[in-house]
Amino acid sequence: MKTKREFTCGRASRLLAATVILAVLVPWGCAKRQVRQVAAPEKSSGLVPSTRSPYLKAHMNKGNVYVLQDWQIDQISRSVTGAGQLLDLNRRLIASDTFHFAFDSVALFETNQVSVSPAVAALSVITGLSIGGTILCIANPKSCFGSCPTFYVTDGHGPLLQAEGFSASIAPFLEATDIDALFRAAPRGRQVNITMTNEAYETHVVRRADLLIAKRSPAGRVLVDRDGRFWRVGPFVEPSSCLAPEGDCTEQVEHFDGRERFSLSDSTDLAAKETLELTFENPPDGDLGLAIACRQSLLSTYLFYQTLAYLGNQIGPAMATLQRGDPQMRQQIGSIGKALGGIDVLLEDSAGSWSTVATIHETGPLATDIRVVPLPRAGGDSLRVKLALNRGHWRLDCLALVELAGPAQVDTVTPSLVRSHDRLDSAALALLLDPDQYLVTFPGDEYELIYDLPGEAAEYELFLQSRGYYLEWIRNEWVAEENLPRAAQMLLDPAQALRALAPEYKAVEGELEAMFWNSRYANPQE
Amino acid sequence: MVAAAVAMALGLSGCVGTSAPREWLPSVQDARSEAFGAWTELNIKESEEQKYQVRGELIAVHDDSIFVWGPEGLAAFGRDHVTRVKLTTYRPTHNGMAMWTLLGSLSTISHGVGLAISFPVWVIGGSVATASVSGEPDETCPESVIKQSGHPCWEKLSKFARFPQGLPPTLDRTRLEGKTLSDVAR
Repeated sequence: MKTKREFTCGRASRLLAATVILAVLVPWGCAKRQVRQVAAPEKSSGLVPSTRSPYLKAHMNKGNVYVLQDWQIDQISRSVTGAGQLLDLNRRLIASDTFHFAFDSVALFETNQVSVSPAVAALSVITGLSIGGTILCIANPKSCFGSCPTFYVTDGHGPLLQAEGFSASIAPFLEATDIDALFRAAPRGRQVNITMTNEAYETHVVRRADLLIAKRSPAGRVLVDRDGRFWRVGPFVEPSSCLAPEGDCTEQVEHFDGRERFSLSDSTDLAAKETLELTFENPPDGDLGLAIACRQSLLSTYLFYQTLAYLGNQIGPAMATLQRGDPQMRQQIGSIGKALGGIDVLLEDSAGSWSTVATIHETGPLATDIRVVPLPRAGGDSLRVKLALNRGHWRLDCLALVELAGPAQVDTVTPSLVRSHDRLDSAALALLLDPDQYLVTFPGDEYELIYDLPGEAAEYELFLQSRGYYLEWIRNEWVAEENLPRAAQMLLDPAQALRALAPEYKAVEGELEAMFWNSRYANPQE
Repeated sequence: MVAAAVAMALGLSGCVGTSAPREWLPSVQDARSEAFGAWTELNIKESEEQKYQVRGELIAVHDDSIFVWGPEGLAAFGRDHVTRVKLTTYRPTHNGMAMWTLLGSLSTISHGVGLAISFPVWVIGGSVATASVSGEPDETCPESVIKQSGHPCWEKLSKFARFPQGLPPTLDRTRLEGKTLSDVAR
């Protein structure tokens, strides 16, 4: 006996299939067009019968007309033969027969060809792409959904996705504050406009979205470290070399320019690690830090959605248990993330041994964030740094050495105006300013947050400080994958789960990125 | 989204601007063998005070005149008095395109958040395609050339007359009859 869920899914699938089939079949019975050709008898050599133009009309000098099928024009004998009808001036039937007559009495010949409209071809292309999208999303629904609050700021040319807020906060008890560097923001004047969007099937609960600003020198920048300390830093020094398992990766990481170094995951173990080795010749003399601009691949997103899918209909009780504060479960929900790990920064000491200096965790596959890792003094003519990270988990945009010029003074700027649907939204503003209230957004919502700066925007380094959480909407396609033993494995034995899931992930890894970005409102990689 | 798609489809299905009775026009398949003239809409301006519109079957186009079978029978109009001419040569076939656009738009619900892209693509692409198809049965002359007696545009229109060769010299105009709905049934 079918469960209600099976019935619902089956009905939805049949409806979808019927829609797709109809979308393909509908045009072939319609959207035809006619092309009429008229020629005098002496210019009729090009007229030949075909399946698309089976009729010949012979307009006679006296106004009668023959409408013929199975016709033939004989240019040598200058005559026409065919079966059909002879119609009078008022197009009433005079005779039905096989006719043979000479050109002399013919004024014009007419043929009409019916063909499929060119517009059908155009719409067929859209249909093909659309069906492709449908098939891809049916085959792998987890690639078609998801994100978290996204923040767009101009880079001087146009809106650029520069931050994603509290990506790891998937439940109320995980509400957290997130700081993202708006490193590529280039607003003009004394005002900063940030567009906050909800681009996924999620409910976003935003407690705060403030701007943190720090004065910067013309040649320097301000970066934040993993502990939330802000540093004034000197010019970026690109690595002399970057060696990865696949070879030289210097070009991909020397500038913060959207070109990224990334690798594919291991086919047998999604937790397999890799190491990159950076060398900086003649490093600056002062205190140094390593600037790391990176974002996650879709591996963590995939695993998160897979966990939700395995929980299936039990996701509600599970989240409720978490929310009630079961400490054991709360610890376990982060176990997959811990198994994947962050980016370990290792420094070589004078004795040639390597030690871990810090570990960077940046959650989210959308916006590239930049952080600085202060390094202990090492000395020497060159500085060697290793990064140990999970294969296929990180996209590295920029790895650069910076001189730390000291702590930076940071001020908080709250939004002064909020605009939605091209109107001022004082209610939304009040919610964002009240620390005890939330602004709740739904798919498709978009808010423009406007901040007034004390001076010209170009004088400041900008950071977004957002706080809140979000709730993922569970889709039928996910529920269909309910598998509680595997869900338990994800939470209790993540190392084994990452090995078990490796083949499934590898099967879609190559196309996942393209599918994900194609399924979104905007592609910040462009 | 469903409401938007349905509203769009309804709008598209009615987007054609022909005054022809739907039953009067042949289907695109029947137009291959039917021997009547196309449905014609003429705007006539004989003077600033005397402007009117004529509708009916196109009978013939001559160098200086156009013959239309209208409500009052056969009438001839000087081509230099015509300010607008539009023929509808067969029954528009855009309803299928509108339905196609509707179904395609609805199918984007399977694209997840991707429908934010695919739905507008369907709406815009489908609307353009449907509008294009809905205009395919129409033949017209641009206003900029309509006064030019030798312009090939008029020759193009004459192909869709009952007598594309022009009125037969021996024609007894009193015997001529216009196309009626009973002709369609026949």
